[in-house]
Amino acid sequence: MEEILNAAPQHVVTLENINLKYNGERGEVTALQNVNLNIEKGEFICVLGPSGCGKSTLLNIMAGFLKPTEGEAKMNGKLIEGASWERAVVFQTPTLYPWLNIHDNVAFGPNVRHLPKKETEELTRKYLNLVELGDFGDHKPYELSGGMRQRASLARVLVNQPGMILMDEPFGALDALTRQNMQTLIRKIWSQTQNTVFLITHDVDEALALATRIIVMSSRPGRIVKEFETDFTYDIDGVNKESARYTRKYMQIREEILNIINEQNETLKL
Amino acid sequence: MKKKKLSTERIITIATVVIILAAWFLVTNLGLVDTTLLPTPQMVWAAFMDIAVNGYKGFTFAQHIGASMYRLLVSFLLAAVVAVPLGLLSGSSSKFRAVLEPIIEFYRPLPPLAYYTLLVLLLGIENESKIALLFLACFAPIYIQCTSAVMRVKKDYINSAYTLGATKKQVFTKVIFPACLPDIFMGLRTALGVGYTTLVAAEMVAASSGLGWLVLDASNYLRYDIIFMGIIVMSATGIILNGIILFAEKCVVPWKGKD
Repeated sequence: MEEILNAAPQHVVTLENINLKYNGERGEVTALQNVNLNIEKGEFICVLGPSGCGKSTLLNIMAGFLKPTEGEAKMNGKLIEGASWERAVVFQTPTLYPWLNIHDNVAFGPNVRHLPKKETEELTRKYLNLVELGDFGDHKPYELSGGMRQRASLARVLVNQPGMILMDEPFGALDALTRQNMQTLIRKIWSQTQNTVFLITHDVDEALALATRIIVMSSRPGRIVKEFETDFTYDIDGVNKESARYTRKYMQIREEILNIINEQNETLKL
Repeated sequence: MKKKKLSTERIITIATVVIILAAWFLVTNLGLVDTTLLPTPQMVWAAFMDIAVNGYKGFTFAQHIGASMYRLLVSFLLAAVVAVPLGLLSGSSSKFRAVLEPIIEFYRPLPPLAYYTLLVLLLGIENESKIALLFLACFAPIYIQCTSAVMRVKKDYINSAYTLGATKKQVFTKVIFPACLPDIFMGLRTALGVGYTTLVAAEMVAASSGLGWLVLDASNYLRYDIIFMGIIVMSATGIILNGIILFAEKCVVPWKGKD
């Protein structure tokens, strides 16, 4: 009875005992071991961990690009089989199509899904404006800066109004200032649209600034070692802004996360 | 800045051509070489004017050029229409590739003239055998370029299309095909070059019209002025054809090298 209650439908994505093994050059490699995760609607999850801890593998399983060796990945109670527009992916480097202008890139999803023309047009314009690219619809992707391109990629997935947005280090290739602006923008969009977000990052401060829950992973085998519930994103969004980053609680969590990650790096060196 | 640099290079190119022409003019007009072996530019020009007005051996000059271009363009277009879809399919499906690859790998390394005799026996000495020959010569480079282009399409391009809701067919038509366009054009240009070379060779072996035949026939009568003229016209035609494809590429693939 309790189990049924726990599997309540407000979980957008559930991962149960996910294991992923593959045959590497030196025998079998366990990329993910016993990963369990329930993602609730409206959560903003940030994943941290050393490189090679399987963060991207986990995202690929959720996106439907990879099948777990064992365990089940479900979305809204249904087994994830292959990619779907309901689980949008923002890649590290924008994958906008250079043969389409920004407007048509954003309209790509609604077009292939055969939404009515009028609705497509309205949605496209709405999300272009949301990412502040309203005047750039007729530009080609290669005419825009890196930050603008990543904003267009964001609009391109938002326009589908997916149930879950997966992002793999989306700001990793951007400079520090652009990054900050992107974080502010994504927080604004998240609080406006009530989207569910799963974002991989290697930047502890980025995770703390955006997440409602932070997941720390370890490598070899990749597994979840610790979870933190955080709410700094609301403070940073509110009046306190920068000072939220200097509270005692922020510092404590930050240090704890860094310790976990550094510990692993040291054991790896040994 | 960039524009200025481009024009400097243009000037260098033009200067090179002018210097070569001037050297040719001087060496021949000063009598440094035998003009029966290396005719003067004036003699070549006179040959050009003569043939342009009076034609050559029963055909007008336009008919000779037209005969060559007809053979080349018909077979080139046929090859493009067949090889592009087959190449793209081969790139997307390893099973499809397994069927076509042995056939293409078998005939591709052969010099086209090696199987031309066979085609002549099968299809006769007229245009059919030449078109078949050029078709085969053009087919391989287009097919191979298309196949490798599909396999090199960025995985993220395809994955993002799927996560945006595209079906397999839509991924093929809306992502893989446009992503391959720059390579398709590269294949077309290579094919046109190969086709042109093969055409001239085929016309020299068995024909009674066309630029290749004209040059070969002139050489039988030691008409160096006509040989030179024919070669220059061939080259000019090749440059023009290549330019047409380059221009089409610029219109169709403006993003080339920018993504």
